[in-house]
Amino acid sequence: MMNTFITDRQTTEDLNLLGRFRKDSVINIFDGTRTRAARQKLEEMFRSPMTDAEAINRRSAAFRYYASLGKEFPFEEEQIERMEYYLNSGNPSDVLSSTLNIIAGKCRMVLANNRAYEKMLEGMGCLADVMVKTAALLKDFPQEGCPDSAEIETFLSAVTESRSSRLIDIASKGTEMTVAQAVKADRLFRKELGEAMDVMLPLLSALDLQMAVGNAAVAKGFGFAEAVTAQERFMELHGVYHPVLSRPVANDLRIDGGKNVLFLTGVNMAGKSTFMKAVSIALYLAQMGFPVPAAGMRFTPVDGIFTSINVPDDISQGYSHFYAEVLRVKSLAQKVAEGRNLFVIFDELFKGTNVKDAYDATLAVTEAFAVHRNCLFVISTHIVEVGPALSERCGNVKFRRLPSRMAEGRLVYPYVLEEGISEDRHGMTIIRNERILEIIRGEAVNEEI
Amino acid sequence: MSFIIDKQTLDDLGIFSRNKEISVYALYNNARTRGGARILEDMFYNPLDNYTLIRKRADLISRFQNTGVQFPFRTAWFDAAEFYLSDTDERTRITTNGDSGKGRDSVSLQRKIRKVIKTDTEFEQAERGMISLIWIINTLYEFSDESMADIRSVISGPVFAKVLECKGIEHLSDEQAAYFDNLLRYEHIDDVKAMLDCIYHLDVYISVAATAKERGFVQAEVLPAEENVMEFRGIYHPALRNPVANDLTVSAENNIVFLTGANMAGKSTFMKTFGIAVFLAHVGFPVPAASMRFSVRDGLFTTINLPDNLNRGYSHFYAEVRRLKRVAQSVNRWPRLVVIFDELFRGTNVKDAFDATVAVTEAFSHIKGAIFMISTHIIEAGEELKGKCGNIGYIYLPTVMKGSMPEYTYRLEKGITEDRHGMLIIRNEGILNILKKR
Repeated sequence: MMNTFITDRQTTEDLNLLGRFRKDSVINIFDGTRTRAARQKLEEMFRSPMTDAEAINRRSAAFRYYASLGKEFPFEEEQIERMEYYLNSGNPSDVLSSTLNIIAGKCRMVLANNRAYEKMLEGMGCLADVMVKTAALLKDFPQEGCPDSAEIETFLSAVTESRSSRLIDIASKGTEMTVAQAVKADRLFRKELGEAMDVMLPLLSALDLQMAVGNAAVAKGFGFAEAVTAQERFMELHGVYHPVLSRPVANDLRIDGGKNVLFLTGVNMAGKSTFMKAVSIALYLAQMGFPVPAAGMRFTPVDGIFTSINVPDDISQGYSHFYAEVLRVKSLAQKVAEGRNLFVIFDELFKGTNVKDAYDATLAVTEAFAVHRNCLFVISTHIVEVGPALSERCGNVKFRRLPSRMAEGRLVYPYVLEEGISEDRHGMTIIRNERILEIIRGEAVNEEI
Repeated sequence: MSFIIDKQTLDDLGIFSRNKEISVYALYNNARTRGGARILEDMFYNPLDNYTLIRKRADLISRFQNTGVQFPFRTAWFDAAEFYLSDTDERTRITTNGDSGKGRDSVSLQRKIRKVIKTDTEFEQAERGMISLIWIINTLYEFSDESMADIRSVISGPVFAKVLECKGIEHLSDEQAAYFDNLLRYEHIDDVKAMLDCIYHLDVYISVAATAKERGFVQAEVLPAEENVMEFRGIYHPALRNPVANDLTVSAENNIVFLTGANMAGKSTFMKTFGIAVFLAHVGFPVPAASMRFSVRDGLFTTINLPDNLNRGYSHFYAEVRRLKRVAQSVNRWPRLVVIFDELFRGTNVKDAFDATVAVTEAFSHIKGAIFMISTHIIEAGEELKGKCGNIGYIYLPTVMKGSMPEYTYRLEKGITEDRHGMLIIRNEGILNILKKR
């Protein structure tokens, strides 16, 4: 049985996945598409990641093929649209009525100066041009590993046949065709090349999409993930980074059934949220079969991804931030308890409450989630004291930290993941460096601000 | 010297806020004239640090509040008058043809022709301006009482005799126009400006008094600086719709107020309420409270919504430290400041925040002339401070559980919060049970 992938709005918002017009959205990275059909397909893929390892790898291989091909989609949207204008005019299945349509169009043009006839011929010219260029492009495609070889074969053999290619040549004259030539070309496109036409349109949008994604992968230096079917769940990432940062730092990570909780600590600004987003985005893209912002990645597909990074307060409903967090945790607890294999992120659990409460709650909730070994968790907190208590109680928690260092009186953040629990305590150092206490006591006067 | 206040403080308190929330300035700005609004803004930017000046202004407003006097002028007069006075171009000076010279004859003739066909707008505007000024001066004369003796004697003197004669005039003859133009716009422009300035101040006092009356604000009692006492009864946030009122007393014995409470319990709102009242009292204006007594302070520094300066590479913690440093220097320069810090060191880990809060609060506690209000969610810091400093007053804003939902009373209580409803809420929602493996 195949499961559909589940996620929710909070997650796609947290990760800024969707929204073509949104600055820095993940979908924008891949949106080099030229045609509307390809764009729609891209959006559809973003909305429905897969859960089947084989399907994921199949799509991933297709993108990899086009990435190594390194060719640009040769048409602009306008050209494709003009071609479609012609194909949609008249009755495409009935050649006779189409022929009459051409003749009637010519008459209308002569008598009433109607532009439709010219537009139709222009569209035919575009179609011919697209066919010639597509054929030229496809001829050089290497056979091996080509995901669309069957369609390409069908198309090429029909188009390169001598009578077809002669007529296509004539059609490429566009508006300079005589009525008789137009009728003949129309007959060719609508009837004789019917099968090739049926193949060509979806092929073009597939090419557009796959080339856009493949080329984006090359331009961004993305890698490809390998989905694995295995009893024990795991995800293994090498050099994963946040794809929309200008100078991201790459990290390695492995979470599996044996250690299914990654407990992440670090001071504010150390990069906890960014790292968690990077991992989530990589997994989400991998489940779509897309290139990932990592050098390498192997994983067992999950049934869903849920993040809890920027939980919005619902002040209008009178909830406090803490209560909003509790409700979010509750809804994810219910999903986890249903037994599906999920990847779940909690960033700074219970930041909206006092320290003791946050400590107790983080510890109790992390422990409760951890028993669900079929799910993978990344949980971050700045309450580092939870770490030692957790390591005593659960054997399946992996501790990682993002460090910070003092350098020339300034805090610097390397963003490189380290083993262990953060013990960074620069606060008092900075206060001492800035001589705050001395200034208050009046022992240090005339100091520069 | 004036009261020390900075942009961060004005922003924190929403004195001139630019976003959706109602600014304190907007609450008080019901001035009828643009000049009044300008003076009010100036007063808000320059609160007073002088006992006598604050009392004087406060008394004036109290008087208007008691008498309930209405502003006797019409707003449109001032627009016409200011427009007219602002044109100091000599070429627009109005003359009569009584003077010799052929050129002037033709000027007058031109004007007569224009008058007939109603196109001499320049002259009409000047005329409107002069008539407005005549009305203004007459109204001011009638309105003024013995407390405004200076103004009265100027108006009743020989210079402005013609102005009083022409009370209620609707049109000026050419001779009158030339006379008044010379008088009002040239020879006695300084007197005219002084009168307008006086009226704009009146406008501020009358409108503030009316605002206070309408909203039930009270005049704070000013005490000399030496005492270091602040006493609030029923103080509330003026921009909230249903604010909760609180009492608070700060004195030399407990000049540090240590405020705790859960997020959402209203800590920031109370600190803003306190800050706004201190600010308004130093402007000499009525305050949103049942009553208030205060010793005059040197200035006010708040740190409530500190912006991170991420593009300069500073962390939030670093921004806090820089702010703290500035305040620390100021505390030494001006010994009688009011300092407010909301959630000191929220941008760091718990241990650091604990240590830093304790160390800094303890250091502040030696500055007896200042008043500090410090809030934190690290309640353990409060316990630690109890053993170290004697001059701290502890207050908190409570959380009460109503079923599984936390509710907030926004009513101050004495002590340190012990609210620990977090785990209770988690248990009520059954989260741990949901996750239990069957």
